[in-house]
Amino acid sequence: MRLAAGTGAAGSVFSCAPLRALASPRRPKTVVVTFGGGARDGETFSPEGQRNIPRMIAELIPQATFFTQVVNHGILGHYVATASLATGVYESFNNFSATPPANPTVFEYFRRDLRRPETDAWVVAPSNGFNRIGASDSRGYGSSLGAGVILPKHLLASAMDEGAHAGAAHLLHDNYEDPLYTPQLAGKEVELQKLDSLLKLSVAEFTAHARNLASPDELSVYIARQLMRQLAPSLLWITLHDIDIAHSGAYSLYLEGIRRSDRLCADLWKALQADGEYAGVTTMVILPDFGRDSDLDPGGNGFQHHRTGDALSRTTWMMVLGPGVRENVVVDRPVNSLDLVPTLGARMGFSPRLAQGQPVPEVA
Amino acid sequence: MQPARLTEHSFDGYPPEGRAVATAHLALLGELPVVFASILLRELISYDWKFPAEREELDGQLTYLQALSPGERTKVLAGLKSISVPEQLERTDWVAAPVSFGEQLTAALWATHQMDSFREAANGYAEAWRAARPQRTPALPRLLVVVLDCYAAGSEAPAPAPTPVTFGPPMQKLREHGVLFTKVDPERGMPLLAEFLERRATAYPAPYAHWSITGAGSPTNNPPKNPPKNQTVTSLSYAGLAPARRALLRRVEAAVASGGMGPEALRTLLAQTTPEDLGFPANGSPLVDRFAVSLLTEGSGTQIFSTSFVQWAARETLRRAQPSTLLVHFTARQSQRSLNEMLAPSSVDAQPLDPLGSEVDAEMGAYYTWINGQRLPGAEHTSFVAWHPSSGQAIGIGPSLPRGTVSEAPARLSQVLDWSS
Repeated sequence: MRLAAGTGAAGSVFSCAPLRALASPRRPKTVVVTFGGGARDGETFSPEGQRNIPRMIAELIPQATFFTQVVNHGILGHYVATASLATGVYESFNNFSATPPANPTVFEYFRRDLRRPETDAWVVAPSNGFNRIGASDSRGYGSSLGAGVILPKHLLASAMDEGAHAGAAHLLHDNYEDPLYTPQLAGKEVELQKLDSLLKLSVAEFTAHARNLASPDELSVYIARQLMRQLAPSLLWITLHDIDIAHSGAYSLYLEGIRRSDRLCADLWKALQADGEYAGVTTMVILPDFGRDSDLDPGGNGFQHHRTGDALSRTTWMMVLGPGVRENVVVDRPVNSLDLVPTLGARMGFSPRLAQGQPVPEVA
Repeated sequence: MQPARLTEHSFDGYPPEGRAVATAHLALLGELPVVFASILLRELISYDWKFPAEREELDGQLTYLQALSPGERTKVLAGLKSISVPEQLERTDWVAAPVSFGEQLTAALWATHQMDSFREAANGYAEAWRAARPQRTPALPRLLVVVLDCYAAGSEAPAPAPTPVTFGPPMQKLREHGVLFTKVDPERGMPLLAEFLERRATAYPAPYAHWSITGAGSPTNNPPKNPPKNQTVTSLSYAGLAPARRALLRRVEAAVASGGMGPEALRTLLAQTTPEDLGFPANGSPLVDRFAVSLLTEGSGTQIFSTSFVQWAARETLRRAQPSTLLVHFTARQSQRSLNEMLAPSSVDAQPLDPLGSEVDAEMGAYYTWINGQRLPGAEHTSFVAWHPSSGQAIGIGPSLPRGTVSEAPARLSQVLDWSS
């Protein structure tokens, strides 16, 4: 039924944006991009790594304040680490369970303090495990104040008929951390409803476009840009995940993931500057959730995993661009990854009461 | 269960040799913190299938711990004793199932934010053990040879690369440690290397001391025409393991399809997989077959990418068997498709191949093989050669070769081997 309804809505694609009008045009907006699949300095900002991120180097760094040492002291699993970034508290649940964070998320603080509607905060996330990241189960907060969560791969799997996955199978794998584990996707109705009613995108259009995309991250950015067009949310959180193919041990594919992330981030910033709702009022924050193991730690196998907890796997970087952010500035002092939410609070005007980090003064 | 309550019967489920070692050290095991005792038992439960070097290492640690006075032992293990194990986990049967316990302990250490403390404590113990153990220099200096053969696997006269290959950062990292030879005559290529390996194995015979690992494994990517014949050479090939890989993927597919199996349960299933489960012949070598199964069940990506298999196999061979000679042969892996497709049992010999990406994988694999060789006793005497047939270049690293230099003079592959070793 949902498939039929979605197909029937093809004519409405991109035709209007009624919800977008609800967004106040000059409010500060924030787009956070995390790399769920840590990237090491050696393959990114070190002299030999810069070849993999040419657009960040040439286009974004000159406009950014860049933090060279962002340290994650928490659990180095992607869902739990991303949830920790989003709450400002080191969460400690099982990385592979569909568990909401215990502490309020940035989305809940934002919506409650600034009285923003549910359409104003969104998460685009890579895999099934992330479907609870939009809201905590913390008293006084919770799902009524949370962000909408879109799992593009889930959406795509739902939109396609059984047996029609062949053209887009490369976009559907759930996670790389346990490559032998491939959980089934579920929850078709809710996701397809979002596709039609919120994104004004027909099933046919969506699946046709998806087949032309090279990777799950491209699908995520496509959905994020659709959200921007239709709803112009003030707080948009995108988690990229292609880099995590590193778990397969193929170094070349890990580098390809980094290069794709580089391109997608630069394209996204460009799109924000060209969008009347976002240009001039939007802060973009880019950071990997953590690093990957050092080549020299005998407990690991170099870039392949993030299991040792060594300094390299815990340390990454962060880039902040936007109004009032000093351009072409490098900050070398260590920053805690928990500082992200308080910093966003300071910039957007909400109070993350339970977050344990501190606003980063250079950009707060 | 507390270690102090261990008895001889606690090890009834262990294979005979492991049981004998455990019971011989019963008093010692009873005095250790649970965390450390479980780590030792994780090794002892597979003692019967360990290589000589591993046994020597484990025996050495037990002897070292036994020889410490109670006060010294307390001091050396203080960090590990301070690790708090959740009561529920401590009540599990960690003696009978130390591998499963280790998985759960790891998760608990992360969840309770003790991973950094554990890491520090483990490093502290390892340093104390390293400082105390007798320094052993191998009688035969180790030789590691890596072939980056992603365009012309197994051919006797490697074809030129279809596109110019620029050595990337991994090779640059190797270059600072030795000599880059820019004009290498391959002579007979892989057969020459195989014969070289055989000669060393014949001259210095020892169990599991000489190894050959190859990624060759598809119809256009044939195994070497002259694989080592010497019985003292232990050989592993991605192609040779195709039936085992297929059986493993079927096993995983069936487990996932049965429903209700999460990642942890799947890991347990993999850890319990035996050579018989994967169809290994009954007359094979139990040690090597077990080792091969561990490469496929514990390695990540080793089931689908030949480059990942070869890199991980080389790492584990060095770590566990500590060979005198290791020949590592990288060949092209399959192109990336969706993981679901690549994990299908029917895709074990899939096409097409990705030689260019494989070159990058192999370069990093060569670098990691060198690093792993440097972790072994006698590293200062170890020789290393990385040969890249399609560009006619090779890197030689060894005690008699200068570091960070380039030789543009023509050199034969056999000469590079001689100069390096």
